[in-house]
Amino acid sequence: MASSHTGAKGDPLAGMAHSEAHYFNSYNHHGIHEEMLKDEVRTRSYRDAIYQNGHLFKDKVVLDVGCGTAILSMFAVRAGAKHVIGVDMSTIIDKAKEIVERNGMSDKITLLQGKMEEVVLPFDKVDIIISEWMGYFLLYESMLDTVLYARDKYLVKDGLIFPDKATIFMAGIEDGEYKDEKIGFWDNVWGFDYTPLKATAMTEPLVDTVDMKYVVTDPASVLTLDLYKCTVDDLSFRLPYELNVRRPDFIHAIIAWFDIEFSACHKPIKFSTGPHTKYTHWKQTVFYLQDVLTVEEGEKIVGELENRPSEKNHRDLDITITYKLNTEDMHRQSAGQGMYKMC
Amino acid sequence: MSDTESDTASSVGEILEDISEADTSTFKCLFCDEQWSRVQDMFAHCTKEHGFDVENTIKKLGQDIDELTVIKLINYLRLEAQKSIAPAEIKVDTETLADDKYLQPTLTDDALLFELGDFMPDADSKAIDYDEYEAALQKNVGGNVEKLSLDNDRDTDYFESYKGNAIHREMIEDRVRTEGYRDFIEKNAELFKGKTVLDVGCGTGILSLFCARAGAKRVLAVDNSDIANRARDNIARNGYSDKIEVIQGRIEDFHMQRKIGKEKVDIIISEWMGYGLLFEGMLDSVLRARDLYLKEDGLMVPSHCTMRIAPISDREWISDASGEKFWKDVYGFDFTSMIPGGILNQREIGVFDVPSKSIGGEASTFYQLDLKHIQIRDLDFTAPFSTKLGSSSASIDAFAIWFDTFFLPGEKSQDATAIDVAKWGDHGEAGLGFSTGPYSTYTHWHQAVLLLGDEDRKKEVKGSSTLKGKVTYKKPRKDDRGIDVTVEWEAEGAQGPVSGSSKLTMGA
Repeated sequence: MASSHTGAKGDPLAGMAHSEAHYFNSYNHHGIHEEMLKDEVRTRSYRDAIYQNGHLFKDKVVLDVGCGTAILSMFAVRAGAKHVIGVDMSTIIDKAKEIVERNGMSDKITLLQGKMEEVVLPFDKVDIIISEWMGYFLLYESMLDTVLYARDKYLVKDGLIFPDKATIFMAGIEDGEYKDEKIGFWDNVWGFDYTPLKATAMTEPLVDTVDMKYVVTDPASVLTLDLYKCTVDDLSFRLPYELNVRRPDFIHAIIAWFDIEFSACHKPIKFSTGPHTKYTHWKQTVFYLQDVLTVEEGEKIVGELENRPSEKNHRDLDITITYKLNTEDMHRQSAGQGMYKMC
Repeated sequence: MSDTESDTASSVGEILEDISEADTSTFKCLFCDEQWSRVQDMFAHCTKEHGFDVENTIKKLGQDIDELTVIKLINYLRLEAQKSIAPAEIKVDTETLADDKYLQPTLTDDALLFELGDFMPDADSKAIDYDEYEAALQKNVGGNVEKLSLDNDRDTDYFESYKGNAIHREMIEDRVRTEGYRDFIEKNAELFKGKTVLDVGCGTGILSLFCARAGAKRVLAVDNSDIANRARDNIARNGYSDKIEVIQGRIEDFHMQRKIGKEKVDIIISEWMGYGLLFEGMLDSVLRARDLYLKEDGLMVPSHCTMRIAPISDREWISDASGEKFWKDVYGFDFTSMIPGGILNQREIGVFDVPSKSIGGEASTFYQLDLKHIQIRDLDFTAPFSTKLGSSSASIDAFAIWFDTFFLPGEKSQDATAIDVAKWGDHGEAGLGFSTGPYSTYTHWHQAVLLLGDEDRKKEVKGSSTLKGKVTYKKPRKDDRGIDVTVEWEAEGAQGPVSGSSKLTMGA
């Protein structure tokens, strides 16, 4: 935490209780937009990807899928786009219109409220699709299916997609103290046994920042989505992973994060939402394991990561992680599977 | 607020998840121990106090230097400073900085290394690529990256503060609220012994369990949500199934009346309070339950609530809270359109932890709810208040409204307004009640904030004078769960009396 005497000097939130500051940032839907715009890694990466590639945007027609406050649309106009169409289902589009007007870009940006499947675009085809569609764990409440629909319907042959690559990574972490706090909490609630809530807590992946020093294995990439080629079917998958243990330690949880790449750029731009790099509002996703694995350097954890939209509500994700610790030591051998629900 | 839906596993997840957002990195001066929260301020300090212009030094390295060189420069300067070399004596040239040993951070967790993008010669077109930095560091310096604490200290802070806050928040929020109830029940176990208790909106069943443990003969725990199933599990696991009966359904319906039976109950317990006390309208159900099921001489827990109001005079805080500062410049665009719909505005009541220093006058109690006798129609009301303004208050920006909750059984109750809440500890007075005001430990209720109109905010008021006004709470016709709140006020101004009026809503 910041030492308190710095509070008065600049950052207005610095002197406040943490929860207070958090409250400002997330109280309502404006808070969400504020949080996203303030996520520097995210917004700057998009800005750089667009500004540094004026040669790609010059005189092009651009479609911004899920435009929100239209920041990406305005970046595209500044980069030289002929026209930008921003589409969003939410009423935020009214605010976006005001913002675009205030910044003198109303003639360059057409904003449409509605479903991508239903709106009528002022152009038959677009040259470039830009979108910030990623959700927690990449795919939770993500708009990727909408982006793919827009690609198939509107993108010209050889058109560009910003970003165009997304990769999911996994790693194992030591997290004894916090697991105990989060899951063990239900063992004793004000002197009562609340363990019926424990099983539920175990099935809920936690979206949280993980400190690099708790990461016990090498990261392993599990899935790369190429947005030029992938289909909605690719978003349901069951794929193997293998984690190399880097040091003797315990493993309480598997974490997942994603990297994003704008490979159409003159100099490719990437950002990561992993534990090794700068904070983003996506943080990492933590999946607690039933067992605690006792691991030695050089051993491997192998298993499969399965993800599919829930049958009941396709916005929810059903995630299954199987794991097996490969070790000679039969006392430490362990295998199992965790089933999780993001909803 | 009822804990009906808020104490489930998932909401703990949400609470936990929501916490780590504020950015509280600090930047240590390159040459002394002072900490700054903005890089610009720190650099200005270096120029002024140490005679070393960092930005100019970066410029002098030439247009073509890359981000790694700037990072090396910072590490180099810190290293030299550690050798007690006077800032003005430090020699900076590109040859020195060619050495990759300066990639290694001099300070562990040096937040500055991640904020240098804006100080690049061509800041607008070049983003610092930290992956590249990390790769270079691993390649050129080697060793164990983990030991270098390369990850931004901001991340570490987030994680650490988050850990701390998670416990903190669970403890404190539950402490003020849950401990408030628990202390009353445990200190007054004789009131519960052998009695029948109705828990309205039981949530996970915690209040019912407290009552049963204190000796209640029978507890009826009612909740309309599916959480009732979990409450049942919790109660079974703690061996109280014979004492506590969980019933899922609406408290008012016929089916419920049959289940509860003709025998009335001795005590009704409920945690029904919402933002601004009455938002969410759960009190209506509690009062209907009282009229249907409570014995004539029965006890309401809690027994009283008082509502309090105080003026806020703090432009700076308002500007932050309304987001005005942030929206003025978003990556070079004007986003002020977002402000009118922002979190603090002149239409909707905001919910904030108001810093006590922002309060510009004495708190005034304007309404008392005696839960035993109050009627649903009394929840729409107009009530006067009067407050002495602080000596330095020159204008009013907003009003803060909060409530205090009391547990006053039997004949010692009557007038809760006579109790001096200011004398309570931060967490309330054990067994007597708790406050949700700006002077006490914060609770999940925070305070309700009513921002005044721009014209009213400009009106000058005289410090130390008395401001008088009235507060009106009214449910909008079509929205049972929302509230319209109107505050009318008058005060002494610089040239004669000034007055104002604001009407805001808290809607679903």
